[in-house]
Amino acid sequence: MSVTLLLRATEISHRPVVSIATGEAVADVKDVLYSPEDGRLTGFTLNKHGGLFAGPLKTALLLDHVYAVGTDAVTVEDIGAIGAAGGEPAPRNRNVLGNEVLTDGGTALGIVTDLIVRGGVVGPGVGAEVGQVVGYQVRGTAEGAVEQLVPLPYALAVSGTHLVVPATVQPFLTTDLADFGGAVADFRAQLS
Amino acid sequence: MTSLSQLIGTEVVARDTAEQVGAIAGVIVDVAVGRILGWQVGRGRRARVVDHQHVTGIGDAVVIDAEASLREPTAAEAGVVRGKGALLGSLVLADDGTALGTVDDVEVDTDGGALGVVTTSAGTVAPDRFRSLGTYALVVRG
Repeated sequence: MSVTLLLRATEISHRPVVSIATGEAVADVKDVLYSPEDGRLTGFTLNKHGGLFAGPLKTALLLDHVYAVGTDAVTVEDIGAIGAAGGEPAPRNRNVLGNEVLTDGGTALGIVTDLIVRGGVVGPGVGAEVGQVVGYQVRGTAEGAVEQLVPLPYALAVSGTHLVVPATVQPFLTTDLADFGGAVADFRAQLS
Repeated sequence: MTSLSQLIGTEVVARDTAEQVGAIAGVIVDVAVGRILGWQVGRGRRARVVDHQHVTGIGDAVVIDAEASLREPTAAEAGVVRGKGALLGSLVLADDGTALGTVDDVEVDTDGGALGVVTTSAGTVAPDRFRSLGTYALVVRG
């Protein structure tokens, strides 16, 4: 049984984008592009490769042109994958960091501090789920509150300030990313 | 098969003059076909390259057919000679985006010029998994 690779979006940022054809780092990930309505990343904004002070690139990298999203790099078949986004409309993106997550029972679970993204090799079958945002990391507003991971359903109600999840999610909250893949699967199974 | 790290520093002798013309400092490879293309002789501004076809034998010394077979590095080889894109020490990155350590050593067939197993800080990688070698990484099939 293959292990589901889950990554924090903030861990993907600053990772190199590496060409499989040449072994060169062709860019660095600046940030993820996220469509909450689709429940997945649409791509990445990019910096030139070479550290924190390298400038941004005008072209984005669409997820459709990514070979894999891994723990240490985002890989593409070749540098043409970056140029492939040139001239196309910017992918849909909504920044949900700082939004409040509410259950449909009215309970505030916290403020979004990160996205939990499914990694791996993009492709048919399981690979089609790569880039899916399966959860949010939230921080409670009470003093001393710990960060928790909230599993997401496939579809999600989103406004400019709030994200509403089913109240049945609460037993599946966890603090450990290693346990989170199972929590997401169990939560989604009881929804269907 | 011989380990590449053991060949580094081996003296290079020209058959036509019997003169020592330098020492092995690195290797020029095409990992996509798994072969040695040439050898870096000497370091820095004095570094030269000899194509593997001009090597007549590798043992206690590396013998090349003639001193004239030493040439300037091409533009593509210049980075390797400066240490960028060199196989030894390179990051090994699986094409699924997972780092597999750095290249500690690689086996080479000194007769046929084939590359063998790469030893990394995290294990070994067979040559049929090699995909490319660049200044960032040796990319291998995951």
